[in-house]
Amino acid sequence: MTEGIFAVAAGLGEWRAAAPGAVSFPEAYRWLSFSPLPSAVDGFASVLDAQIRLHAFAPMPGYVELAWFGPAGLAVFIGLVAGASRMGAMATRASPPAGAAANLLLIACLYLMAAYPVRTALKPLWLALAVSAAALASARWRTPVPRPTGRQAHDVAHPIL
Amino acid sequence: MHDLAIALIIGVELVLLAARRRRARRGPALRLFQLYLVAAQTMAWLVMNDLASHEMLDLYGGPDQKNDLFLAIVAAAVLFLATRLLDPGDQGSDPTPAGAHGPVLLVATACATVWTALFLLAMSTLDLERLWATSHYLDLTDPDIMTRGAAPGLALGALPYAGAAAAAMAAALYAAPRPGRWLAGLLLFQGAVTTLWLLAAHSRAAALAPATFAVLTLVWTGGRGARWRRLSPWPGRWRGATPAVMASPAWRPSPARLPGRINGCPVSPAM
Repeated sequence: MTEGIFAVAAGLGEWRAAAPGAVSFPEAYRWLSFSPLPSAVDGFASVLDAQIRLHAFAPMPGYVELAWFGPAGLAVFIGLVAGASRMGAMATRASPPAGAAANLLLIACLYLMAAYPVRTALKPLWLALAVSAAALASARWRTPVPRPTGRQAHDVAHPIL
Repeated sequence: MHDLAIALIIGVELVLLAARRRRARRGPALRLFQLYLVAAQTMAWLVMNDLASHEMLDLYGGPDQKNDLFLAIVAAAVLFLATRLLDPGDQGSDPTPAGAHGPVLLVATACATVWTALFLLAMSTLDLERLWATSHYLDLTDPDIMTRGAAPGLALGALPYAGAAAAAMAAALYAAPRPGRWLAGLLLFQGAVTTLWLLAAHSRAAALAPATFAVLTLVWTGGRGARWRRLSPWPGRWRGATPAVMASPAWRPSPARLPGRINGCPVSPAM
């Protein structure tokens, strides 16, 4: 269960040992790692050779790949996790089972990032976003009376007695 | 020096986790991930001090292993803080006052603690290389395996933890209020799954199963639409509509039922 931290430790060791600029990922590999599309559609298979692995049977952990990707890749990842987390919280209000599924997928993503590359580990996160979006859309479609907003919310907070 | 820094890091993280234990209702994923990070850091600390072994280190271990592990522990601490900042919390939307879910949250917390302790103990004291070999190459007809005694050793190592987990889960089931007993039963099942995982050894899919139940539990115990609370025979308090709740600014009754309104439309006193 906790083997991820050892893979991350090994990856950080490689990252520290590499001379500056000695390891670089092609731009296509870097940005296609954040693509939710299948490889047959976005062409990720053509840049797969650029992948750096710890061992023939052990891929580089996603957290270490992010360190190599630089601040832009890190910012995209943080934005995705923040969005999935917030949408998961909103989905839990709309539908507890959907919220549970979204939260489970989010934790699966964060867990897999310690052992698998970014593109592989992000798959559950894309699913979490899809589940949350579907739950929110379904709740909005089912709710006949919209929640009070703006002036209505003010009236609710300060009723005329 | 490293040990002191790691102890401080883990201690602070545990304090931060405890400080927000009641907010793990809306978005439990990040909270559980933080718990996982603390477990992983503890495991790495044990390995650093040669109190446990791990097959990954045999595969990649180098002369700079301790520094790499320390760096990974610090990186996990940074990740812990980042997930804390990203945590959406309850967004002030839960009208239930703190403590309304007391008994069930207590049971869930106790079981989560047992679950974590179980993992930590098993990871730190069992011979993981033997676990790995047993799970992948176990052949009871192979005289070499039987000579090494891997299977009996595994069973003897895991059974005390399985027994402790079963006892803790049974106590939780007994202590749970009647509306929450099915939930405690679910947690008991979680303990059984954890035990099976221990006996069957190292598998990511099996290790995620208890986390699945923990997530479901935390979400279901906390949600405003929690089914067990709607079905509860306990009036008032367990339905969430206490005077204290209705007086709180987070309470949002239907606009149609507000005083001074008919079907949600404001009515002038002059009318």
